[in-house]
Amino acid sequence: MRTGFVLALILAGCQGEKLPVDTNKESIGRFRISRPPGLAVAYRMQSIYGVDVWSATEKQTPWPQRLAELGLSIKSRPALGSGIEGVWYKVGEDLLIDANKGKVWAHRGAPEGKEAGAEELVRDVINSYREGARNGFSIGPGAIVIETSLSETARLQMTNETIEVEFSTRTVQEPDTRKFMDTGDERDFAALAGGSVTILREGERTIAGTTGHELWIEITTPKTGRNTRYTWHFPGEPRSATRPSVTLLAKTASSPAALSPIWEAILTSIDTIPVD
Amino acid sequence: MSNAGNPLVKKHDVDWNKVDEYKTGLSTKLRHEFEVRREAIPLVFVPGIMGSHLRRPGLPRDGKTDGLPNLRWSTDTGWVLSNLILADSDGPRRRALIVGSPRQTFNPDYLEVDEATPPGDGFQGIMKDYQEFLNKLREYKEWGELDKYFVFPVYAVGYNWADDVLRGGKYLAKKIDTIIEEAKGVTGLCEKVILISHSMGGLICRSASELAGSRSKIAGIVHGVQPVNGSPAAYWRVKAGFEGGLLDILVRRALGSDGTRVTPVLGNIPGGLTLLPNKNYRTNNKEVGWLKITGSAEPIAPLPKADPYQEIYRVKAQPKPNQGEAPSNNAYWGLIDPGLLNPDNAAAPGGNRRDRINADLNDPWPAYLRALDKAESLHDMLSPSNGPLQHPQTFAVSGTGHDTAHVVELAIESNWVRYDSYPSKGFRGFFNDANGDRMQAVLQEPTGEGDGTVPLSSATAVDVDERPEPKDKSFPAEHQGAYGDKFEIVQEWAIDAIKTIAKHRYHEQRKGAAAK
Repeated sequence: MRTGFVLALILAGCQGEKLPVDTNKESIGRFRISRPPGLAVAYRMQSIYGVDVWSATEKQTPWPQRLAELGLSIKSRPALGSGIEGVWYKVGEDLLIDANKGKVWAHRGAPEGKEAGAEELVRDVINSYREGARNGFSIGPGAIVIETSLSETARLQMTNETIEVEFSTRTVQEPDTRKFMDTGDERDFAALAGGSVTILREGERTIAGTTGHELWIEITTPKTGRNTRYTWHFPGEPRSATRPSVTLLAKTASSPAALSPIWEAILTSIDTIPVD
Repeated sequence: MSNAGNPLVKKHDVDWNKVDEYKTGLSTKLRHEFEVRREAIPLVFVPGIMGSHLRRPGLPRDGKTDGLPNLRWSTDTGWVLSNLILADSDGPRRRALIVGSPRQTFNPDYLEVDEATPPGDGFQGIMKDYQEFLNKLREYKEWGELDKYFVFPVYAVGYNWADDVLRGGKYLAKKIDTIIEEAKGVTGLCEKVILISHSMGGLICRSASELAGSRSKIAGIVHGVQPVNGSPAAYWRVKAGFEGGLLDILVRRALGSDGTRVTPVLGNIPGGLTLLPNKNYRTNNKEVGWLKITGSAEPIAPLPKADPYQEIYRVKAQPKPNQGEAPSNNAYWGLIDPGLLNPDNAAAPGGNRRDRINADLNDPWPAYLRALDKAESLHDMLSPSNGPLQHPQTFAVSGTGHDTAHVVELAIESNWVRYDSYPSKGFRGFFNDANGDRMQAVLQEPTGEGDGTVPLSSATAVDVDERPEPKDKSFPAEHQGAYGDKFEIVQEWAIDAIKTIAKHRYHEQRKGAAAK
């Protein structure tokens, strides 16, 4: 564990304590990473107990408008209590629920006849939101401070004009040892496309006490030119919310020279967020 | 009929098949000039699974939504590189591209063909590799006598290959109507199309012709490497990922090189499940049972005995035995491991109270069964027990010379160290025998005659001895690239089949004219 992380733990203090939001940091799920200047958040999602949960932004459709959009697909409006608005609706064969309380939105599905269980999970997740919390399962400006789940996923995409970065985590039942461990498919593709694959770096690298596999590759083909991808992947520990599978991926079709400093800035910044 | 300019000349626009109507009754005081209008017979190409580009409806194709490209499937090199080769394209992401978010199950309206607006010739919506052959057809000049009566504009119809084939057939039927109207607008005469199919496109064409009421608008169908009764390769690939050589690489990348990547896609889409062996499937040796477990002390009868849906596809696969169970009874050979169907929505067993509620809500099996029901229903309609439905003017080509799964073999051997059930391009089912010894059933490499995907027995299931030249044929062609320039012999055969169908159309019309 890095010194900075220990300090952050001390500063975070007790559950739910509010601290100023660091604009150069992005909190996502059980982790916090740097967002280098020039990179903007393009997409983020978080899910806990099978409930997709997110914090409203200026792009969020207001609740009345959401109801209007759903229109005839609405099946019912459950009483979720605690000031939570909710609506069940159908899309194709799927029975889905959207719920909202203040800045927090939630979404999940359920088989017909089992709506009550889904409502309980949605209600618990929304009611566990703590604005500005620096512990728990982060959704950005705040966190879901609730008992850890065996089903947690999170994904954050950041981009600028030439670089795409994705940070993702997932709780696993078995370590995910398949991702970015070799370059077999990449080499097959390059061969088909008349190009080549160059490994720029490969090895184990420990970040915040976690050892993952780092792999930098460059694929060059006549049609697509030179593309570079950097990955770091930790397979995860079974049934652990605090040691999920973690993947950091950055890619560019431009010069890799611009990628390296961004990569280092993000990778070395990965920190875990305390559960409690 | 016109009389422009010279009052002593009378001009007539005549459909080629109505020339006979002008043999008598013309005024001999006038000079009659006839312009014979040729009939358009559009050649409509229908690609195989993954051969159509798909997008999210109503969104700009170049944008992104929910962290994924709006263009959800393309075979263009740049798209494949960006979205499959360089991206984090594990099972959940592949599922998200084609099926939707972890909260969604298959919805036929989730994707649509990435057509141009207006669709034009339809080429934008299909894999570019097909265009070698389509451009050759478009530029073909050797129609001989047929050129006097017919023109052959070339179209392609992409379709949502994730959707069930019954709906795909209805979609193609509507496209046939549109194409006929468009061609009629250009030439003045168009009543029928000729369909040319590749692989799964053959099922779509038969569905349009025999189930969606388009038979009378189709002059004939030319099938290439059609999995008429399905293919055990579909089972093999769900269990083990996509094998195959470089020509299959795009497909392999899209669906994945191991079972954890393939199951989340193929197990959730009716279109993919339609490629499984149906009840009429027979091996190249004419056997019903195509799933064989070998190496057991006691012989195990191959499956299915009669119905693969009940005996294989509706059996939940459990690749590892329950702890301490000996002998274990886990059906490692079942098609689908439920835990792989929706990995991002899979809840681990146990956990706290909320985890247990979540697990109870997240069973992906019912959605899989719904998709499977659609595949079975289509199979039963299109391939009843007395043989597959087909258009009377059909020609079929099959591929040979490539190792193909006409049977699937799982070989039992001792297992000292437990391995992953889903290694790349492989599968191992683990179990404990009666002595409590750890055993494994290892999926064997495909062997058998075929094109690498469809065994000869299935591709030739519509073959009929009495067909005219060029007859149904087998060539040493590979599945994915069967119509490519590498297999010119297939291209030439297809053109000959088109000519025979057009000649039949000629005779059909002349006979009609004579009767009048």
